[in-house]
Amino acid sequence: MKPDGLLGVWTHRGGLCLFALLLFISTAWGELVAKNVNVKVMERTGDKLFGQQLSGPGTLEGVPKISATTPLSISFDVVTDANEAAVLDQAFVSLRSLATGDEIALVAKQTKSGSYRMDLSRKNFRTHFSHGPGTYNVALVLGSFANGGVFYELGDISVAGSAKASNKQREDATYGPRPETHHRFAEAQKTPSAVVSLAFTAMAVVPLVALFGVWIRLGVNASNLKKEAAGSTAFMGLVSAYMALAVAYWVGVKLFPTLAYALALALPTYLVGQFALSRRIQHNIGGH
Amino acid sequence: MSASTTDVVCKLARGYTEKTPRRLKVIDTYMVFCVLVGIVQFAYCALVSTFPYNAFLAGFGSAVACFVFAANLRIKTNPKNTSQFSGSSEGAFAEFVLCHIILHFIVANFLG
Repeated sequence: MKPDGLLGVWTHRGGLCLFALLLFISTAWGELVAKNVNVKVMERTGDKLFGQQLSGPGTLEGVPKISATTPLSISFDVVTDANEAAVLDQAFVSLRSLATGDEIALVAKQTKSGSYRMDLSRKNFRTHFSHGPGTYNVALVLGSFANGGVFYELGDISVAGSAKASNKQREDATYGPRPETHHRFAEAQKTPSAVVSLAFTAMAVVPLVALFGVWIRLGVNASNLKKEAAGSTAFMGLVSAYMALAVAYWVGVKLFPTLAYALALALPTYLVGQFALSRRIQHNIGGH
Repeated sequence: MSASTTDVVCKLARGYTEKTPRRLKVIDTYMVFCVLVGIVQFAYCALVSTFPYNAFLAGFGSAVACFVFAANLRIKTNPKNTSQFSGSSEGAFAEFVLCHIILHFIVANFLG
């Protein structure tokens, strides 16, 4: 029984039966039953404006009207076919606008007694129904992993509100292409003026010039290098190569190539330095 | 009071000039140079701007480290300390050079 493409699955007898079973479960009562469904519309003072108790498949008699000051309250019990209390994995009260089709899902929370309750507070009313009054279809959307799901249409309610506010809200809600975004580069950080920077650079160079001047005055010279010219020159050259390598690293050479070059220079520098300095010690000892 | 202070300073300067070996004076002038360079960098950071901060840290740290290495070289090459240190002046200079090589790589890395 090879399926002939995706459609081929559904054309098969077994697939048809399975689909019908799933459809029956999803749209009919299934194993969950909503009982003692209480729909109330209360006044702020606590007076009940509308109240009706339903049990499936009953619907509301009439169209109760709700507003921010007279909110909606729905409570219900859920049992299985065996009349045992069921624990739901999802319990929503769905309000679908008949005019626009917009759907709002409000969570029904389980109380300590085991029943489920949804209270539409004033704050939630403003949040959810700010986009407009009108007639809404109320339904319970209940589901349980163990017992399946049930969709119970309770009836219609009328939501009161300001038409002008709703129209304004509609005008604000535009669904079109967003305005073109333009990349903004980060603003360059403010830096001091070049004159100040150059002045401080000169101030940092002046001690170096003064240092050389004082050294010359003290009589610093390179006459001792002549005693071991080759070794001293090579040692100074290799040390200078290390300084040049540091500059090259600063300019752009990556770390690992720099370390490789430094490692390559290390042994010659050590050997030449050892040779030059030991010969200098010998000269000093011979001189004394 | 001021006259005695002046006398003390003059005596100190004269004693330093006459009794300090030339090699140590060379190192001392290098240390003064490091201090001055550090002061200039710090003054720039305090008065003008800390940008770029990593460059200031690298430069100032370099000046301080050079001062410390020079101080160590001075201690080791001072003839009065020969009883405490067994190595030669050339060995101390080799250590000084090695420390500077490592320092300059660290500074180049931090300079940015």
